[in-house]
Order: sequence, then C-alpha cells, then structure tokens
Amino acid sequence: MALTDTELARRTAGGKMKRKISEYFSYYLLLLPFVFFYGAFTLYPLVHGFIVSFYDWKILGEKQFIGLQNYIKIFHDSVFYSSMWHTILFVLISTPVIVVAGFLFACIVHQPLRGKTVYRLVFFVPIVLSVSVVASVWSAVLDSHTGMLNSIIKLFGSKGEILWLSHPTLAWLAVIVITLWWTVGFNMILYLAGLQEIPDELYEAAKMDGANAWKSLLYITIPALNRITVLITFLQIIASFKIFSQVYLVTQGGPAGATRTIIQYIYEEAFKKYSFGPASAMSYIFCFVLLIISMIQLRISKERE
Amino acid sequence: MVNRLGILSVFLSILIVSACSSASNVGESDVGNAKSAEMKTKVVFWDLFSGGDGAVMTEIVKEFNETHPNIEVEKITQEWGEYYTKLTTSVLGNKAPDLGVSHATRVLQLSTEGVIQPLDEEAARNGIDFSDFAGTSIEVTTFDGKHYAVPIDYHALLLFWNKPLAEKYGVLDENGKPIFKNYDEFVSMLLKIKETGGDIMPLAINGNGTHPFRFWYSVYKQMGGGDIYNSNQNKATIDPEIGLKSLKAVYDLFHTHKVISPGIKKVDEVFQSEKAVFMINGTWAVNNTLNGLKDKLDVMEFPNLFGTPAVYADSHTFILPKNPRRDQKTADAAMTFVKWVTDNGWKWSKAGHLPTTNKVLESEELKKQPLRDKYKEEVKQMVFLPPNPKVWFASYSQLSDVFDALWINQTTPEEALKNIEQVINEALK
Repeated sequence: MALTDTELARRTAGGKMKRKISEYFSYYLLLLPFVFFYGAFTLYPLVHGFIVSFYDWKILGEKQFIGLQNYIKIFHDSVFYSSMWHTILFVLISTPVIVVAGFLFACIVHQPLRGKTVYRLVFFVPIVLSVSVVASVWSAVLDSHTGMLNSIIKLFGSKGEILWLSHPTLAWLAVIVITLWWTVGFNMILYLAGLQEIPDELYEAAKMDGANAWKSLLYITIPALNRITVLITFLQIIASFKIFSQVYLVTQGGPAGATRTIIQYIYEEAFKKYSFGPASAMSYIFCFVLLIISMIQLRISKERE
Repeated sequence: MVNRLGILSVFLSILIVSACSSASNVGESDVGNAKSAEMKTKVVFWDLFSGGDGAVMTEIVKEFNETHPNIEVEKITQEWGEYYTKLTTSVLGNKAPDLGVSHATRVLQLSTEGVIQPLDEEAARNGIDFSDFAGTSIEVTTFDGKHYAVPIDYHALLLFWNKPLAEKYGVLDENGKPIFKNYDEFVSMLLKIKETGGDIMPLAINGNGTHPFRFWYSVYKQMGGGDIYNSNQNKATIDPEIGLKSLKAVYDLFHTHKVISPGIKKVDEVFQSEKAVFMINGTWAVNNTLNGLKDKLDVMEFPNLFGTPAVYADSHTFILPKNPRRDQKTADAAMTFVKWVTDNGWKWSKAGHLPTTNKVLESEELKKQPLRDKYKEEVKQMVFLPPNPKVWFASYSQLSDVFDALWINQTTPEEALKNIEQVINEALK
C-alpha cells in the first residue's frame, strides 16, 4: 500500500500521466478490507466512545445526554488524579530505567563474548511470555509469606517478612522490576540492531587516535545511536503510559490503591461500576495526553532529520 | 488487468463481510440444530466457582448429565472477580447463558439493571417450592412479590485451626475447643502463641481484597451495629461509636497486639503449609483445607467476641439471565437442574457451604460429612449486607482500599471510618 501511495505521488507530481480515477478504482477496492476492519474496530469505537463521554450511559436502559458533566465529575474525582499521578510517576521512573537497561544489555551481548547467543536469548526470552505467566511467576516470587524471595532472605537470618506487595513504595519497586524483566528485551534488540550498524572503522580510527573504551562509547556509540534512542524513548513512554495488566494481576492496584493506574481506573469505572460516561471521558483525556506526547516526538524526530 | 483486479477485490470484500455476518449467526443456528435434533436439551450454565468449590460443582454437573440423558448442562466457569462484568455484558451482547449464578445480595442490582428476569413461572412449572427454603436468602431476592433467585447455599466466615499446633501451644480446652469466651481472651490466647511460637503466626487472614471488609462487618454486627447504609436514602448510616470501636478492635489485632501479620495474600497456602495456628476464612475453603491438612484440621463458627453472635454471610443462588434465545424447553431443562441441585443440596455442601433447605440441613447425608456439625449452627447467626440496587459493596475496590490502608497501618481507625462513609456516600449518590 505504501508503495502504491508513493508511486501515486510521484506520478501525480511528475504530471506525466493524467489518469482517470477509474484506473485506480481497483487499488481502492483492494483497500476495502482494511478500511472495513479499521472502520469497524478503530474508527467506530473511537467516535462512539467520544459520544458516550457526553452521556449518562446506562449499560441497559436509557441513555441521557448530559453535556460536559462527566468531564466536570472526573475533574472533581480524587481517584482520577491519584491514578493519573501514579501513571505519570511510573512513566518518569520506568522510562529511563528500561531504556538505559536495554542499552546496557545490548552493549553486553554485542561484545565478542563466549556464549553471547545464550545471553541474547536469556535477556530476550521474557518478552515472549504472556502477561498472565509473568504475573504468576512474580506473584510466586514476591509473595510476602509464601514467596521464594522472602524464603531466601530468611535463610540469611532475617526475621519477619518483607511485604513486597503490601507496602506502597516496595509495591512500585516490584512493578518496575517486573516490567523491566518482562520488556527490556525489546529495547535491547533495537539497540543491538543499532550497534551492529556502527562501522568498525570508526572504533579503529578512534583507537589509533588514542581513545579509550569509555571515550569511544561517549563520542562514537552514543551519538551514533541517537536516532534509535529517541525512537526507543518515545516508544517506551507510550508503553509505560499504557501500563495496566501486570499491575492489575500482581497487586490489583493495591495496597490501598497505591499502584492503581489510570487504565485500571477506567476499566473499573466502565466494567465494574458500569459508569461508561465518566470512563469514556477519562479515556479521552488520557488519549489527549498521549496525543501531545506523540506530537512532541514527531517534532523532535523531524528536527533531527 | 484492471478489471480482473477489481473483480478480485470486490470478491474479497464480500467474502470478508459475509464471513463476519455469518459468525454472528452461529449462536442462533446452534439453537436451530438443537431443536431439530430433539435429542438433548443443552443448557449453558455460567458459574463463578473458581476457588476450591469449583471442583465440587464440576462433579455435580457431571453426575446430573449422567443421570439425565435428555439434558446436557454445559458449565462455564468465569473468574470470581470478573464474573458479573461478563454476565452483564453477555446480556447486553445477546450472548447470555441459559442459567447463571449470583450472590443473593447482588440480585437486586442485577434485576434493577435488567440483567435477570423473575423465575416464578419456570420454578412452578418444574416443582420448585420457595417455601422449602430457610433463612434470609429468599427475602433479599424477592421484589414486588416476584422471586428472582433460587438459593443453593449459605456461605460465611469460619475459624479454622491446626489441631497439633494448637495443642502444642496449649490453647485448646478438654473438649478440643479454643480457650476464649470474648475478645480479651481471644487476644490473650493468640498472644500466648506469639510469645512462644517464634515464626508461627497465631492467626492468618487474607489482608487484601474482600476478607478484611467481611471480618470488620462481622465484628461491627457483633457489637450491635445497624445497617451500614440505607438504600432508600442513598447514604451511609454506620453507627459512629460502634463503627469506630469495631474498626479499632480489628486494627489492634494487626498493629497493637500484632497477632495477625498484614499483607497475607494467599491465606490458604500459609495455613496449609502449617505456618499459622488459626485462620479466618470462608466455608468455601473447608473442602480444600481438609484435603491439605486431613485430620489436623478443626473448625468452628466465626468466633463470637462481643456478645451478639453474628457473621458476614451471603448466599449463592441460581438466576435466569435475560436471554431471548432461551426457549421454554431450555428454561425447563435449566430449572430441572436447579431443582436437582437444591434437592440434593448436601452434594454441593461438600464444598463446605451450608445448604438452604431445612430438609437438607437435617439430612443424614449432611451429618455424614466431616466437620459440618461443628459449624452447621452458623446458619442462625448469619448477617447479609442490605441489598442495594446500585453497588455491590462485597466486592468494591474503593472500599477494599480503605481496609487495605488500615491493615497496613497507613490510616488510623478514625480516618478509616470517615473514608468508609465517604466511599459509600459517593457510590450511592
């Protein structure tokens, strides 16, 4: 499709051939299946959700137009603010951690080490696991009274349990570690691809000029990976904003709502309380935030080009 | 070339659109097949028994299907926490099951939302007599003279203990019962274990989710507290003095006397691995715990610590979700199953729950089951949450949050009381 579009643009720009729309008819027809699914599963819910956000939308029964009341309601809702704040906090902490860890792991497996394929596999493998598996494994490890981690700590003579999932700060630490373990492989692979594209001559030349490994990293590797870093960072920000399932399955948003994220709150409002109006309104506010971030990303990557 | 491409793409589009539309007809054609076959009536039955009681229901369905060649009950278990979401959306999407399960205290909300229908006609046609049932379950599921549910059990909190461990710490009397008559004695009994027990926990209870609320509610009721909200006035009506006193009593077990460790999430595992002497858990855990601990397990009613015997309870009931695709024959088949399960209520009580009919409560089959006689009397002290058309507080995350915060010592009982009222008022608004 992309090819057809560029070809189309080139031809029109060249002005060599002035074809009638009928000649492209078949191309448009080939687009139909995609447009059908995109319309049914993306555009329609998008528009419909926006409409719902202005209604008192009962799951069964009457729907009443109430203007901006849903939006006003959530701007007075302290749980909305705390959930939003938790999400932003997670983005602020997890993004640098997972991006830098991805870079470090990529550097490690890029080295001519013995058994580097094994390392690559080990770092990458968690990402192919489904979230329910990840959550089960980590719940078993981190459970305060039956978990593996506390059992090991106890072997070293510690008394009492560390409440990994029942202390607000530790629960966040757990969520970040779980997310890191689960998703770092993706960033690592992207960085690895970037590292492999840097020509060896650059390093050789630097070595001749007397640069040590640290200097090479600082003046060759990192600048060369600049574009990929921007890409990874923004992908990571968006992914981190969308955090939900691992938290919902491991801490259920607890203790006392300390790890409840915005998507969990939207889910609870919509499907536990059936308050579809406020839930849709929150979704659109959240969508707006993501949109702004995406626009910043586009602006930055354009400037760099 | 162009033409051929055009034809091809039109063909593809039609294929996809027709594939989609035929997919949505699958359900109806299934019903058609069943009708034309006239052999077996298939009943799609959804339950929420994802815990230890699930295996018992699977057995019951199997036995029913074997003894009723004309009916096939297909049981689909939804995860407890997501069950009502799925049930409601299935009705909305016209994909509802033929038969479902609901907690008695949730039935008012389901009928208000239009998810379920009254079942008097279906029950009468199939010989179900509502006057056979004992206790409050029928009362809280009957509105405007119409029955919306057929109760299958009562379930409530119990006190479990590990006999050898309790003997070791000398907390049982000559009859093998724990040595306490009131709250103070209960605390000193647990402290006795704590002082000598080292790593052994005196008492274990799940520190998150629904258990803390149920524990508090039982204590509040034992102190003589009234309804915690009024559905007609849509507001919280917690008795302030008793509310605070009861919150403090439970809080003290966690943080002043430190006889319960906070943060337990898998209380069954903790208790079955013999890390705790006592456990507060529900009737639904009896079967599983007995399989794990065998004769080491003993159990009694929820401890009466403040004079009035009372324990948080609810009742699982059969309901008919609104389902225009369910014909009379299927409805009758579903009710045949319901009648068979309630008539043989002792089978379901193998899971640990208590039966709903006096006949089964007094039956020989029930008496033969291990431990049942030790908590059978609990039926008399059960207190339900007042039914309410808007919110089911038994599983309401914002309310659980308040108790979470109290048990991890983030808030004081005073703040917790305020927060409970606020959450209830906000939810009922």
